[in-house]
Amino acid sequence: MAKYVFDHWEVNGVNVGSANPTTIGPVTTDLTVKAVYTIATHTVSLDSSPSGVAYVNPVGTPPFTITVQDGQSISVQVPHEIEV
Amino acid sequence: MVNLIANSGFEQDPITVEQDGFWFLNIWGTGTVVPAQPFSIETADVYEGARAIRCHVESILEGYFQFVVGSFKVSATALVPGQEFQLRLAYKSTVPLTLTVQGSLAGTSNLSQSIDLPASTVWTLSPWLTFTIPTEGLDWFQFYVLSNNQIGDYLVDAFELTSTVAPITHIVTLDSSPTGVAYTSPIGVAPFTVNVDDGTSLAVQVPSEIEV
Repeated sequence: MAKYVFDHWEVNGVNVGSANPTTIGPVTTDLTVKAVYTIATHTVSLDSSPSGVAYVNPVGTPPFTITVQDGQSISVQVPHEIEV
Repeated sequence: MVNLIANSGFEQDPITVEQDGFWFLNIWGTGTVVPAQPFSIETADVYEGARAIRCHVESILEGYFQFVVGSFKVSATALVPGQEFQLRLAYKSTVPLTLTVQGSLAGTSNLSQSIDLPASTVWTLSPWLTFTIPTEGLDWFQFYVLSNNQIGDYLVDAFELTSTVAPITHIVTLDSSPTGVAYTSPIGVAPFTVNVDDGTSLAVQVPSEIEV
């Protein structure tokens, strides 16, 4: 299971805004309304002690952040030994 | 069919203030009538809902009176020139009544139609009074039911004014991405369809978050 967040409405494929609830119309023809969601994301902060350890995966030097989709796992790897 | 009369069953207050849903409860004529104010809100004997209007005339000491329940408050834009409409009400009356529609444009009367309603000891739906809005249109319109100088009681409720033309409807498909979202307004699980009358709007709402 993954969490999704409402993003916007589309009427016949055209983005008509993100107000929710909203009013469609006046309706003068057949049409399709679509509620478009995007998957929720989370911010993961990667740090180390002592600070400044260069991560091998994901690549970066702490402290840094990555964005992860809801429900996803992340792999993390740091050097086995460091010299500071 | 959409009822063009606001507050058509006198359920909301105020009844006789000039706003949408405004009704007039009038005595047309001169002389002396008892009681001086024959109109009241009826709550014990109604056709539907919780209220009706009662007109109770005990005596007419002198003069000639018409006791009238009516309204001007129909959306002028709803009364499409050339289109046929129909009006009826529920009534219960010890006296005969007359149901009338009237309209004019620039001060010249171009619509006036009536039907007579016989006394009825039980609540009765009147026949439809069918009329066509003149092709040149109206800038003034009213409808009313009245009793002509009669001693007795009448009750009225549930006025209906509708077009006789079936409304054009459109199919609105409500979908979502990802599919399967349960709409909270209108209620349904995407994708689903609803019919919407031409020219009207549709309120839509979905949950701000879902789990799929």
